[in-house]
Amino acid sequence: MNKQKPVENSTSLSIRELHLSDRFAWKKLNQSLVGSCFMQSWAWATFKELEGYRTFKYGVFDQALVGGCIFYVYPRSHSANLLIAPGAPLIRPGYTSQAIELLVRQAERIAQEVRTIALRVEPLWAEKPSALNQFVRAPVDLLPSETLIIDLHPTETEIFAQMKPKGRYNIRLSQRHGVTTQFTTDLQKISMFYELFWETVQRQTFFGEPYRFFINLCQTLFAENMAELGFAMWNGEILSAVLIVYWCDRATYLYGGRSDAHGHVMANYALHWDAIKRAKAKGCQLYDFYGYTQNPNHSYAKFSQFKRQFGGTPVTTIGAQDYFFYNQFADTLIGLINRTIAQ
Amino acid sequence: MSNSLFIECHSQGFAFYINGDLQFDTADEAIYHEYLAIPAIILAIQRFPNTALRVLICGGGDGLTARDVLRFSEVSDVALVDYDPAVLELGRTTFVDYNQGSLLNEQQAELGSSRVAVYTQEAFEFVSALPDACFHVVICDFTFPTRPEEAKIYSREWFEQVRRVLHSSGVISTNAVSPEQTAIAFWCLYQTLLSSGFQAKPMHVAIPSFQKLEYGEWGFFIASDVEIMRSQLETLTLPNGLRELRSDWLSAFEFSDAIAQLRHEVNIHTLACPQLFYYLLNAKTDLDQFNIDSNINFLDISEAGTGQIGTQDLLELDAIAKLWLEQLKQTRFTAEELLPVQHAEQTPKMTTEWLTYLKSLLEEVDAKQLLGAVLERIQELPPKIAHDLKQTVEKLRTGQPLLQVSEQTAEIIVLISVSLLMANLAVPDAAFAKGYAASGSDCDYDSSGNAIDCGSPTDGLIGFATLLVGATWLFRLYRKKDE
Repeated sequence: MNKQKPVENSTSLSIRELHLSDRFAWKKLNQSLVGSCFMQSWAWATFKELEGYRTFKYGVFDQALVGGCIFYVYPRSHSANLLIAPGAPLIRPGYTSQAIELLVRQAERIAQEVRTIALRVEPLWAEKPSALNQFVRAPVDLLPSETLIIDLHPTETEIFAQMKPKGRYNIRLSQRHGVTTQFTTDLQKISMFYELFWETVQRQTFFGEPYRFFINLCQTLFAENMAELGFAMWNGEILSAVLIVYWCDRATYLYGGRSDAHGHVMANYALHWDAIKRAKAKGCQLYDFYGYTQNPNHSYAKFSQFKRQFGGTPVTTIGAQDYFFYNQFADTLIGLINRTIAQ
Repeated sequence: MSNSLFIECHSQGFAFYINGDLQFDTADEAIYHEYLAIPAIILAIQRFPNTALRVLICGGGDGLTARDVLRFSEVSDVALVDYDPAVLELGRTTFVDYNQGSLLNEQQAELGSSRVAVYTQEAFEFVSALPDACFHVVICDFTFPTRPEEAKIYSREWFEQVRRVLHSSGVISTNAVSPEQTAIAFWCLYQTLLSSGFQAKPMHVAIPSFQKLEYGEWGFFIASDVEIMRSQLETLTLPNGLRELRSDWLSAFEFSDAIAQLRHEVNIHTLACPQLFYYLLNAKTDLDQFNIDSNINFLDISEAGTGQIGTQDLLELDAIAKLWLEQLKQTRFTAEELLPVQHAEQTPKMTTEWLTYLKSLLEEVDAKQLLGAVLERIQELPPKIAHDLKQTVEKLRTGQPLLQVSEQTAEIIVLISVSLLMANLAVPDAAFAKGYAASGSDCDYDSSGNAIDCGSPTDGLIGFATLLVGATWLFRLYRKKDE
């Protein structure tokens, strides 16, 4: 997680919109920073545009790109909207205060155009820097602010050894049963993934995105080599599926599902273990289970118990932070008063 | 905006998606296209004997509707207008095995024809520029609207343009939405057609590939400025070679009486006061509530429209603010009415759960800064409201306890609340929806992910109203920012 350096660079920075020609530099910046998030990738922005969002990509420059943000807004015709920046801002150490000031000013200009009353950011930082003092903790997050991360630097043997005994046992059990895994970027496999995902959604009674969402997501991210589907099979039957996103140093387990059948072969354990090994082979340094809780009453307690068997370290980030554009908010309020109470 | 196109292959052919929404599956596309195209054409042939028919297809860049129109030698000209060149390109290449080359010329394909002229343009813009009475049939083969702006081509203004370009007695056939999943939206289209001067007849059919994705049974309308009679349709002759439309096709006009009754409970959809998208997102049909024991066949009735133009767009901030203000005066609304679904990927449960976050959202706001920004523009407010607000702010500034706030101050707090909630509803993929919450939620969750012990959202609202009366919330909030 990014710990901000207290010493600020004193040079004056500039900000401008990022263009397609800046895409490579934006990726390089992401790669150079700890705590980069796939939601700040160009491809994710493209995906969200398919979902109806407008995106605004801005870079902060000290001659070279030193920071920036992809802002998202879901446009509606009225004047109470919210500008969001999940996994942002991204800033090189030493530029935090200046860059945040520039980005907030830019966000305020965007807010006037798309009529948003606040900006919600959620950098993957362990501590809130003083530069975010004007931001207040949002009541909900854009990303899971508590997650479980496996460090992929050690050898496979060492990663295996740090797992809970039950995790190791179940992985070996799945191997003895002959569970096999396969990873693919074949778009034709989306329906196979979705069948298991939807079965799980219905079993667990949580919200599940529609098929449309996964078609758009996979089409966009597969084309950029940013994601894969993984399947665990046993006796010719697909028992478990995951969608893994690769971005910078991190592989993120974004979605998954499993069949209720043949639980004894522990297909899910085989699949995550192979996904972890695959992420390491691809050069990732972290395997992010994307959401974890130590609260036994939380809706994800059961999932977290499963994730815990793989070892890893619980990591908490500062969560979503809101900055209100009070002039814009006042504008919305005055308009509303005049059109409702005053009439 | 460019579309994302996806072809999913399977053993019986493929399924085609635009932006993730199924357009057709080759396994059963004939059901959709034959019901959409054939009745309209054969009715036009009956109504305009010995006439070279001119047909306009709006949308339908895949060429499948054109295929079914070109079956008829009576059709002399087909104009097809679709805004997406990528779909049209697929219609000329990948889909040729299925559309029989309907978008190609005679030299290129079996069904290739100089009868078809293709235009790459927005349909509304295209039709608006056409002269009056230039087509005998208009077929609307549009995608399902997933954003408010995409519902424009289902508006009364759109249907009025279509009526203008049709000959008298001409026929419009339009793809609709599911009368099973979204009955209110379906009947909104029905009433909109009636209000545009059409005599409309609804149809519905089961399309397995649509049902597999839980789209429900699919609906269509066939309409004309002259009544479409059962006796006319019964004498129509279906062409040879159809795959799905059979002699019993008139049963498609039969609806459960209970669902059909809903047609009198809707507003019409206009550009000035849109309703359709609200209905699609918020008026899901609960079939369990109906006692489906009798049917009504729309070929047996002739009726005038009962739909009115809405007084407000219920997805708009102002409309929702007005509901909240009425709620403050004890009018009862459901949580779903107070916070309607705003986005295709939200559920009523997700939106109403926001009510439990209201207190946390309000606590985020620096009341001093917000009210200060309002006071700077106090001259824009009516004098009475301005006076009340100034008095309240002065009391807050000097630390006087607010034993009671004026009704208008309470209303302003309600407007702040609504604005905050509406802003947050714009972010359907907030992580809380997947079971994560920051500090704000009072909810606990059971092991299967169901929220428990949140308190009823509407109970929370009553608690909020109590807070308003005591004004403790505003007072504490104002003082807190000073500390």
